[in-house]
Amino acid sequence: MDWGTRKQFVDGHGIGVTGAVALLIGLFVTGFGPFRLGAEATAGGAPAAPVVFSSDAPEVWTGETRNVPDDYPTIQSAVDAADPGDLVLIEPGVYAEAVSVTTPGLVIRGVDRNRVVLDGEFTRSNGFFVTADGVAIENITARNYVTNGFYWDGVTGYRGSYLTAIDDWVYGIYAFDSVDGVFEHSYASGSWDAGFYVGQCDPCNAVVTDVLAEFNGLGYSGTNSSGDMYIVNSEWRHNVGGIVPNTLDSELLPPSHDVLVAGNYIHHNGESERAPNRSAEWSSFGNGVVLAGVRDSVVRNNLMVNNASSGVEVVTMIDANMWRSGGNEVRDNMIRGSGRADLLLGGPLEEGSCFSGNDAKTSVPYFLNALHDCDGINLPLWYGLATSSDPLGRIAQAAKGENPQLEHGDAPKPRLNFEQLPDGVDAEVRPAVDVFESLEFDPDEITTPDLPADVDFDDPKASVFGVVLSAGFWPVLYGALMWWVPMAVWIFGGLWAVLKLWLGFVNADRSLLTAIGWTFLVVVLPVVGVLFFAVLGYRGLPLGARIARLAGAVVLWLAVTAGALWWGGVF
Amino acid sequence: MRWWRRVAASAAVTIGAAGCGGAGADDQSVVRMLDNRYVPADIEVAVGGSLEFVNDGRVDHNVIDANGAFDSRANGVGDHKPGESWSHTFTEPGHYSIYCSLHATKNNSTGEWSGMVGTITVIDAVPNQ
Repeated sequence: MDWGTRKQFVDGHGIGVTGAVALLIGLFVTGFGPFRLGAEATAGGAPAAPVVFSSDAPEVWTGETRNVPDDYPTIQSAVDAADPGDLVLIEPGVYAEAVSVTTPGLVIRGVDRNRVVLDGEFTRSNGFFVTADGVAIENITARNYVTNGFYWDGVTGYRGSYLTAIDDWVYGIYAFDSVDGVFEHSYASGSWDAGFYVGQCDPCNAVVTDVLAEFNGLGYSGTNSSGDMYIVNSEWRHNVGGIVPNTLDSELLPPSHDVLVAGNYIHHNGESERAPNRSAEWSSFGNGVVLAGVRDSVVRNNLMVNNASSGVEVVTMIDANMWRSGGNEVRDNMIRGSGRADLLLGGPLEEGSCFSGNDAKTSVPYFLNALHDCDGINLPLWYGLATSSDPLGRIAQAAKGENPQLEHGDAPKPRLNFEQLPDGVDAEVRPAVDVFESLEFDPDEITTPDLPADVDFDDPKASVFGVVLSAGFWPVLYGALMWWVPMAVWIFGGLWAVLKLWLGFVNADRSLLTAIGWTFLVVVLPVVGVLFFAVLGYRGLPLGARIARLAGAVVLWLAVTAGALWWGGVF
Repeated sequence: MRWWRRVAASAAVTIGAAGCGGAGADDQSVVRMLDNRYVPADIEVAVGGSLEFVNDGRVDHNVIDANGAFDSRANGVGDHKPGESWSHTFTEPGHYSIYCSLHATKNNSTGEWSGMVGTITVIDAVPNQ
């Protein structure tokens, strides 16, 4: 499979200093030009060669079936007895087990998805923990585990089909350090981090399709999961945040890149009272899709409705390192009813993400579709902290314990009437080998979901220059420091500069060309033009005094901003 | 974990990997507990040396010796949350296989652990000079 020109990046793309220091450097330098930190990308290189995965699993079923509980009293005993390529078939019942799967190529199937239930009873760690290649788990519910419901770790080949994960505390359905897999026709709720998670893989060669995630911290999270990573044709609702591919230092293989988010219905995210969450999840509050420190990914043909903050937010990720977003394309999405703005793009040091063909009405910064166009003008966004101030403010809220918290098991419960595995026990038995290549879906055929007829769109929230006034103290404080102050410099400083310039022209102190030139710079270069004029164009003070005053103002602003971030516990 | 501790831990790991490859007696090296791997996963330490395990991940982790020599959760400590750390001094030479009980699983046939696992080799001399 290939969905376009792949852009691979070298390892160690992060900035070589701490994220906190880099952020402050970014605050300062971004207004002064195309300043770059860290290793540069090798974008536009040769297309990656096809990836060949090596699996220990047999490609076909052995024909042997291990029946639970008729032949084996527990799922674990059946799994332990099974040979590679066997089928483990589970009759209805509640199984108080945590199952370890270390035999490759098993197919573990429930007879009835809604009545074959593994129960962690809020004490066991993982429902299924798989460390063997090629294991498929089908038609089963796992609930109340203190870590994960269904967990594949370090495998080649995995498949989770027709699974239900309820109140599995960290992740519902999870693949880590694993490649060549699919999660399909599944449901996840009640996880404080994410309902569905694919982490640390490159290339992942993985697909999440036809799933529903609700009442989680994040519907989908993918930390450092890159390369042929698809999140498609699914529904994400009532989570704190919807779909969040991201880069973090807490896992290997950063940064995340080459992810496709398409054909999803993403709505009513921004849940605060019914979805558990901790810190990073809260920073994604109310966004349908967040690309956080992600590179060269595509968000297209999604329907996004009534998300409390935005439809799509593209933003730099600040962790131990600062991971710049860049090269992402946001195209042809339909977005309505966003609380803050339909589209958000944030720096600092954003590297060329773009927006085209979106059916959207609002954006931060303004005129996003025009100024950051995938098919036309795409201006750099070196600064742009209007967007970033909000997640930073929410990290402060989390650090101060101000985000609503749920106890394990308190999220709303679904009715157990989920769709069953077609053909049930008679379905073809297929170990999870060559999963990605065998999938019958073409990303190019993905279209935008139809808008449901009975949807009323939410009104936007009251905001000033993109900062939502009801977001709380910290987001408003950071918005004020990082966006209102620079905006005030641009607007009021610009008016002051223009007034001085044209009074000078009227008084014959300046030429017409000089007045026009400076006016152009002051208007076109936000903030920076005013600062340049204050030092180089203004004649009311000696040059040394102008430089000293400007430097003092910038240092004061940086100090106050850094102090506010420190006060909020951001670093 | 505060960011400066992360930097310090990262620097310690980097220096350790580049210069020593392990901890000598009276030294302390850092093993980062990421999600869901120990970094480095294999490390040498001299008798009398110690290791600090720092949770640089976003979820809880722990450190348990497969043969029961130590368990970071003991004495009511419990799992280590992000930002927390745990240190252990090694007084006996030998090989220790470690795992995180939340992110590793056991093969019931072989007794081997897989997932978030690592090995610690405790030697009599200062390692890899």
